Amino acid sequence: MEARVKQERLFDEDVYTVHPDDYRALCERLKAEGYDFPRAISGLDMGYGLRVTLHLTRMSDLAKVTVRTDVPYENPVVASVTDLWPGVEWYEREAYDMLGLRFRGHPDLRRILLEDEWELHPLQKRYDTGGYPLPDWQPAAWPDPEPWAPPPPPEPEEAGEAGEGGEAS
Amino acid sequence: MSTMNLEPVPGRTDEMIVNMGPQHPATHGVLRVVLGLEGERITRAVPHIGYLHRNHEKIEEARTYPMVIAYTDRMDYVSGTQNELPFVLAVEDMLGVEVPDRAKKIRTIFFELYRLASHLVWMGTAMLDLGAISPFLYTFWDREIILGIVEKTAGARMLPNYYTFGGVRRDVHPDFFKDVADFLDHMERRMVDYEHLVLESPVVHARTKGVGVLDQERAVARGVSGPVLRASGVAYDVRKAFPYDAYPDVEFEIPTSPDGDTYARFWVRFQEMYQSIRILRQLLELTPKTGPYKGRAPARLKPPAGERYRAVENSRGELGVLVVSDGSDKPYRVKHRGAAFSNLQIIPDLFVGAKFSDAIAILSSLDPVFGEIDR
Amino acid sequence: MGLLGSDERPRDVILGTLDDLINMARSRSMWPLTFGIACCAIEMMATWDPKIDADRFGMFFRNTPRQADVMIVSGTVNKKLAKRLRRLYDQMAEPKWVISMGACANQGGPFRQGYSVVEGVDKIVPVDVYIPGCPPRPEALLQALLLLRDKIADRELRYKKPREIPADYDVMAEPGKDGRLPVL
Ligand code: SF4
Repeated sequence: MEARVKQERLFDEDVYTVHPDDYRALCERLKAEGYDFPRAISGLDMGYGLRVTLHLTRMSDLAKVTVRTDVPYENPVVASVTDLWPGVEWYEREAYDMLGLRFRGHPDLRRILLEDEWELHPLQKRYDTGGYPLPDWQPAAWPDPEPWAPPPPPEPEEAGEAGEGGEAS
Repeated sequence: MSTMNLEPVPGRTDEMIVNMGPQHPATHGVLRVVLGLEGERITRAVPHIGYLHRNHEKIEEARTYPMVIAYTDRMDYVSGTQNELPFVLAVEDMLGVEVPDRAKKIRTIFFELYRLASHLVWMGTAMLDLGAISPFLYTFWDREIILGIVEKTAGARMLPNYYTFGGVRRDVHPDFFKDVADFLDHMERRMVDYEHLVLESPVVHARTKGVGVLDQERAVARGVSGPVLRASGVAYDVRKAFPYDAYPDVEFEIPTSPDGDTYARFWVRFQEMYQSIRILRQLLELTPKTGPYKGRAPARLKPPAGERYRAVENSRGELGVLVVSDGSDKPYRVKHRGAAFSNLQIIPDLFVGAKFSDAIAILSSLDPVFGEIDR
Repeated sequence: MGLLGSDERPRDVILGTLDDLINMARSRSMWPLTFGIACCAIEMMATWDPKIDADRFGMFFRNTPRQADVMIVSGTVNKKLAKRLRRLYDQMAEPKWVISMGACANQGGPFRQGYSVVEGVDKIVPVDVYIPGCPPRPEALLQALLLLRDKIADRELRYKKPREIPADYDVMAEPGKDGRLPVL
């Protein structure tokens, strides 16, 4: 696992960049290390894929960490950490709503800000401000060698599970 | 409606499903909660938000850095300049801009004035929800005084767009310090009245004590912050934990209460108002009357590629922002961490088991502001 | 009094049309609906505070649309809220009036061209008075209310909507830029 985690120091935070498969394991480790206050989950569209950024604080000594993981557009599935920190529940729903990130194991992954009928994930860079697709938008190449090579294409049963939440359009 | 998201339990006839909002006088905006009621007791609660979603984060990607400040104002619209600060601080960090000491102090004075204004609005509206109209009349009068002070300097009442990278946009009005000092004298007298009207009112005691208890562990795990968290006994305040601007120079306490009930949240907000007055008094002493109000920020704002998360303690809790820059003059991504957004997540926890009229009291003690929740 | 039967007219009677009487009554008791949406709602509350005190003109907030005459759209209306806003408007008893408060309600304000924002509440409900500003000052809202009062007092009794908008009008189906439908 260690080979697939990059740790750096950014201002006053420890930043971990991690392979999506190891994201959940790293979060469990951080939870065991006492990071108990979930600040937020931010979803980002990196141009080559989607990024989940989890911000945590440890209340006892006020240490802050940020965990990042990148997933490809075709299979934007990340493990949910709602059971570790219930406070990220709405943030994960928001990231799903705004960017189409799908959190495996989330208890109630519905749209939160937009209505259920919408198919748009408006914060993706492929749309302009009004929600119209940009005609000449192309995904960028996955950066090499960092952060990681894109994870393998979705397993059939994983795709079925993810399909419940609606496809990214 | 099909979007109730609360299906009746088959075979259960004693439960009634009630929709509350988005137009409800006690939801402080456009919250909608679908409640399952068994008599007066709430059995299930599903909150729905998003009725004020105004694509803040998308539209900020299409605006230059100085323009984004005006948008952040419109998030937590009750507390004005407080919203601008995390974004300003984050961009200052990325640019490496030095802020003059006097500018920091002026910013902090505005910050605390708006905390008072926000808590006054909270007090008025919370008491309206509990059925008392007169506190609203007093608190809004006092709020008008604060807004008048702000307007003299910044030019606008509610959403002044006053902070900028490296300081504030213009120097304070010559009367500013005197106005603030007068207001604090007035406010100290008024606080006595408010204690009588609100904290010592038997109606408030009856309706809030022991209602909606939030224990410490759940509060932390739920990501709750601000007065709601401190009312559950956690002394976490971004002003002390990660000091910014002029907070290292002033003395103040973090009021906490071990009870975690609705009354404790009322009480903590009151104590915060006293602390705000105390901070403002010190800052009036410390701030030089003249001097620079703005540091040297580059004319072409292009922060280097990177990202920065900064947070401040606004009236509702930890208001954070993650700014991602790609080196151009527009932010690549601005993600706001709303304090009220996190605080509102505990609605199902607190509502279930409470009486319906208690739900109103609990909701007003959370003090949601929908501009920031829905963004 | 014997006004109709006799040809002698007592001195203490003013003749006028019934329209004027009813319109005067209507214009002096406009009851707005308690429906704060966004930032402008705080300024709307401030209009009823002791400093501006709109109560003195006989305007009191009503919490249910069935008792309200005036809807003050105080803030950004997004596509999710639009249906609810229209439904509230339909629930109000006629005659009814709408004040569009602030840049957002007028045309989308700073959030214009965003994917979720209705660019002007007059797409959903007919508007009588528009107030510019972001947010408008409480004095501006008061002036709008007084303008509306004059407008009500002047109009014909038979209620006419400024512009008919079908109740099932769907903002979501409105074609946007270059006639394309937005991706929903
Ligand atoms: S017009 Fe301005 S103040 Fe009013 S709701 Fe819109 S953004 Fe807020």
